[in-house]
Amino acid sequence: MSSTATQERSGLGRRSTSTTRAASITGPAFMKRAGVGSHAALIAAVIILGFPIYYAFAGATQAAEQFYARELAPGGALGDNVQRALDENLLRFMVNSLLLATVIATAKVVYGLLGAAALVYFNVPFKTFIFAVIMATLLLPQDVLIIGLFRLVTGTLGLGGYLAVVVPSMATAAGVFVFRQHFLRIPRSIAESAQLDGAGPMRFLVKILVPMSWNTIASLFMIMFLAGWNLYLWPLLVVQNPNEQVVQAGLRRIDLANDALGIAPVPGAVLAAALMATVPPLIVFVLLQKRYMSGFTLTAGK
Amino acid sequence: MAAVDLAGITKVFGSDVTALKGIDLAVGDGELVVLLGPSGCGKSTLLRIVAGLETPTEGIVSIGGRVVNDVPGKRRDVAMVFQNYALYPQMTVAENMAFPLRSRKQPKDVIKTRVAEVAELLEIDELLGRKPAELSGGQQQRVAMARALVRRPAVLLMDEPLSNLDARLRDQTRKEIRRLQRAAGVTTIYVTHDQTEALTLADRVVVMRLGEIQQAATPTELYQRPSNAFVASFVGSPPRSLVPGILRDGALTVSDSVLHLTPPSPGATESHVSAEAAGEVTVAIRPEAASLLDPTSRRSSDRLQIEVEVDLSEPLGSETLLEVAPVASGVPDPSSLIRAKVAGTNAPEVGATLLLSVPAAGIEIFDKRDGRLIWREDGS
Repeated sequence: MSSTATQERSGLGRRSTSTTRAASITGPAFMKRAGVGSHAALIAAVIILGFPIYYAFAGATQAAEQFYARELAPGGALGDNVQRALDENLLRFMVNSLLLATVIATAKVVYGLLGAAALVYFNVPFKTFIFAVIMATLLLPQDVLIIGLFRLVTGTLGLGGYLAVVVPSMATAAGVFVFRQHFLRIPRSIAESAQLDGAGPMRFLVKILVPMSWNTIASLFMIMFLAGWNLYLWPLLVVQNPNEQVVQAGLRRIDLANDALGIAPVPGAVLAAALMATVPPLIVFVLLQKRYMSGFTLTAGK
Repeated sequence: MAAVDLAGITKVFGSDVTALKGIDLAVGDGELVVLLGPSGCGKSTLLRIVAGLETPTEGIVSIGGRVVNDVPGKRRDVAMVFQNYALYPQMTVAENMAFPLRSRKQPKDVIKTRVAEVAELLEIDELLGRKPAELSGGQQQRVAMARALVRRPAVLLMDEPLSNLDARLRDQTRKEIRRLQRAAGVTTIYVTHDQTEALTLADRVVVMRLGEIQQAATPTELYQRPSNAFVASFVGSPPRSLVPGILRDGALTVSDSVLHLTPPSPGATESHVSAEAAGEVTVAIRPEAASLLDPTSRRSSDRLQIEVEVDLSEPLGSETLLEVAPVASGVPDPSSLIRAKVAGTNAPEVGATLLLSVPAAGIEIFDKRDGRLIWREDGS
């Protein structure tokens, strides 16, 4: 080794020693600073995310003039606004949506479960191809399909009302995918053991597969319920009877109704209605939360 | 209870992976047959074919005299214990055990009695209310056994049932399986890669390799009279050592030692060897037949006596297991180590040069190319 190399090495050594010392002194302090920094970032995020919700709360309590004055303080018109929303049939819309979202979520869970079970546990020919086709449907957003779908459902199939909402929503590629991944993680020997134990496909499904899948079922139900609750464009197209309309479309009507009556719009009523409309999904979330959170890793990979 | 008959079983996966090549095997009523072989030898595939979980590409599977090729697994009256136990996680032990009976629509009181009976037999009656996740590995294994036995199957299939247990539990459970199987008198096919398990459990061991049966024999016969070099090198604890040798004119040469064989090797076999393989053979040496002598001791011509250096010494208490390297022109050759089992006291040190002495009864000679048996002292 040449002397320069030795020098370099000793230089490096000296530097690294000083860094080590510095790190050992500043380490905890640095971490404390990082803690403060990340807390600050989190607080900022909470404010950014929380502000619209606060804004809706505040707005829901304000009379129109106060709202248009862009005040941020809560007002005293909450009762009037809620009453206004209820007068515009909000509860009816919420019940409609609750029904639809429940039916759609249930149908999707059942469909996904059966579809995935068929793909995983049965000797279906061209399995991989079928699965690929199912997954390919995910690539087409509903907005692209909506005109064709409208013609198919209301024209060719002659469906109307809730049937027209539910039927196209029953199939779910995402559901098939999530259940398939879940089933593939269950040891093959469980199914084989059930088979030798004399269980037919239905008994296997009901007694073994479903009880082993509650987390996935709950997660999927939660997501699908939310999707059903948030349906807007499609029901707006196919639901003819105004009283049968879903909640998201109903919110819009609360706004429009004011226009039609020649009354100045009451933004507080819309905000109050919007807040009330978030309650049912929240309840579903809380009810399923335990299952949902423990099954979350499954859906996170979706 | 039923006999199992396999005739000409061949299994090809995909288009070119042949897992089994024309397996013929008859398992007697109440017999415990162990399929033994390294991984990939086809033993599990064969078991799954008996279970009905795989279909043979060719061949006939009969259980109790009935051809079951087209009978689905659930109607073959077979039960299987899986390597991972395959217990149903959401069910209690009692529910797991009752499941096969419920699937077969047995009356409730029968189910209750049978579950209680078998639970007592396997000493898991304390666990009936627990879920599989709350059980230890050994307990789960018992539950899996119980679930298989509870419906009194005609044939019990076990796929490496002990491989997830620790060594002590494995020994203990192995003995229990033997007792239970005898008591129940159930025809059993048991798959393992562990030759100790196979020898200690089986009425008959079927050694498999590359989709073919190498030898099917009782444990004693299998160890005493292996039919080819593979079986010789696979069976026994420790197994025989295989070393290269030259066989010519009834004389076997290994390293620096020459042994005159009596009775001389059969003429046909010998000519087969000398003509095509220039007399090159594989010699199997039984570890417990080998003794170690002082290197200066007088050589005797009726024993194989090879100068060796001790390479490794493993004291096992009552005996010591040695690995020794033959010394050729003063240099030890560690490429063909020979195992020797000697008494635990006065075992030689590592590095010592000794004379390995093996009587003719302690060796077998196999064809170097295809592993066929060429010579054994008793002439077979």
